[in-house]
Amino acid sequence: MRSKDTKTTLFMYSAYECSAVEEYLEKMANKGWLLQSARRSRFKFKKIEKTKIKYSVDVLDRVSVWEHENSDIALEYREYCEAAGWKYVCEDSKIQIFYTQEDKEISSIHTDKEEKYKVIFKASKSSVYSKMILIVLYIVMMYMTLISNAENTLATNLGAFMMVLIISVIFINIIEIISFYMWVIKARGQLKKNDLMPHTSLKQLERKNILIKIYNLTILIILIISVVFDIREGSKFNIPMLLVGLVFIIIINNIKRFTDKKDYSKDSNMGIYIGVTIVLVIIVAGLSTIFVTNTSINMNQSAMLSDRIKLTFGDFGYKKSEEKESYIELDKSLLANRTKYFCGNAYNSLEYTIFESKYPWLIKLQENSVVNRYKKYMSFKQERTKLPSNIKVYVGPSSDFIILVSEDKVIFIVKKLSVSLDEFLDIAYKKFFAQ
Amino acid sequence: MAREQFQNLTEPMYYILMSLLKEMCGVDIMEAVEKISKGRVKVGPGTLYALLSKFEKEEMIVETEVQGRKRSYTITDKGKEILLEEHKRLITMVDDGAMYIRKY
Repeated sequence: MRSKDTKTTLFMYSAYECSAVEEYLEKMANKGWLLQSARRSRFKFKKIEKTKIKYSVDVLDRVSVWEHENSDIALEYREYCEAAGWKYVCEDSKIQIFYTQEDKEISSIHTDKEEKYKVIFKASKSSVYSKMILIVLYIVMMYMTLISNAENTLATNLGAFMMVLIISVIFINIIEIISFYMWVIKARGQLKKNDLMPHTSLKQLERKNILIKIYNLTILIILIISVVFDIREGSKFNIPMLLVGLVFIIIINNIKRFTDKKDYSKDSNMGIYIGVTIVLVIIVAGLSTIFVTNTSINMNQSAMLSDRIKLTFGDFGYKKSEEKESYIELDKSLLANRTKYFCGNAYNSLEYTIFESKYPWLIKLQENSVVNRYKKYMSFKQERTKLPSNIKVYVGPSSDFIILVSEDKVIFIVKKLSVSLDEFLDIAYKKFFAQ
Repeated sequence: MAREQFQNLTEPMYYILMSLLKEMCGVDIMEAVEKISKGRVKVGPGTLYALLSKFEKEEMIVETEVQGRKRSYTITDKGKEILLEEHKRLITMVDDGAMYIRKY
């Protein structure tokens, strides 16, 4: 973004990459851009004449992340640096940025290498811990979604994309943690030999930034595409959900701006952050369950969709007049299809969910998910039936609950019909598998 | 562990304690250290800031005055003791060296 004499760039870095950031700022100053402010990754510059400026991107660990900007500790620290000839530019949480234009040799802010390493290490700890917690949370989230809801998630493009997104975020966080510890190992080794600290080069950091930006752009595009081209009936909720997500992100990112303006203590700040986050998460989770459960299509309203239904209530001898209630749900994604059917009345009914996919590993996943899902209430046992051996049949406590598994389908059936199990399996096999 | 850390003082630590034999404003210590060591030892503001808080925690220095954001410190008896011990240790090393190294 730029107007005539200001420029904003997006540049992401971690505390241990501070020397690369110094190089970056010096490079910008050489090109005629003076740093005005740095908030998280957003760097604002002002146009000036090309100058040679030396920057020091300093990590002040003593400032808590919950402090508002320009805390007393930070102000006192800056007094010391200014007395040494380093002029203050801006701050970003624990990072304080200074510059000097003097030609004479002024001592750097940290003259003790070991102490500088300790400061950076301590300041990075909270970021590393929060990444670890996030990784665990994401893994738990994925596991719970796949156990209880695999077919709903994977059979929609949006859901499948979300799973891929979560996996990639877990992956990225793991890489960042590993990079940090690689730096720690290198730094400790250099300190023992009394060498200079390991230096992330600006080129490396710039390359990392490009990769991250490409990744973000890609997922944004895929997200928009999968929302726009989602063909479910229930997809009318996609756009409102995205908007809710957007509002969520905007609020979270601006809490700091709000607390910076006020002069609350760091404990109040922490309370505000955590409180607002929890409230928002509850709201978003609540909204998404409301939206997701409203996706059934009444069968009478879409006659053409009912052509897709292979096995019906009527196949078992029941008359149209006995069909008091019926609905179907259809989902389709790049990975799988889901068909849900219910038809019947209070005494007799047929309900089933078909998960169909050409990927055997997905079939295995779904089979495990469905067989174990109701562990608390009932257990399914595999039984030998007259059906060919490539169809696995699991039967629940009463023969009203059945799971059929073939190479490319997993079908979960709940029935209250007056036919025997063998009769039912015979008809079901003909309709579902014999094409 | 803290006692071990200050068993042998590093040069910046040594000169900082020396400059605080006189009550001094924290910010002026950098200049004082450079002067006392005749330009040989320089301590950066970040390092100084960290050391001052460590010394204060170990009760080797004590805060005497706070004027706005400027804090003044002076050395405590415990600090003086550690400083003198270090000075003695250095003299012993010089004397041993004078006797032994001179031979060669």
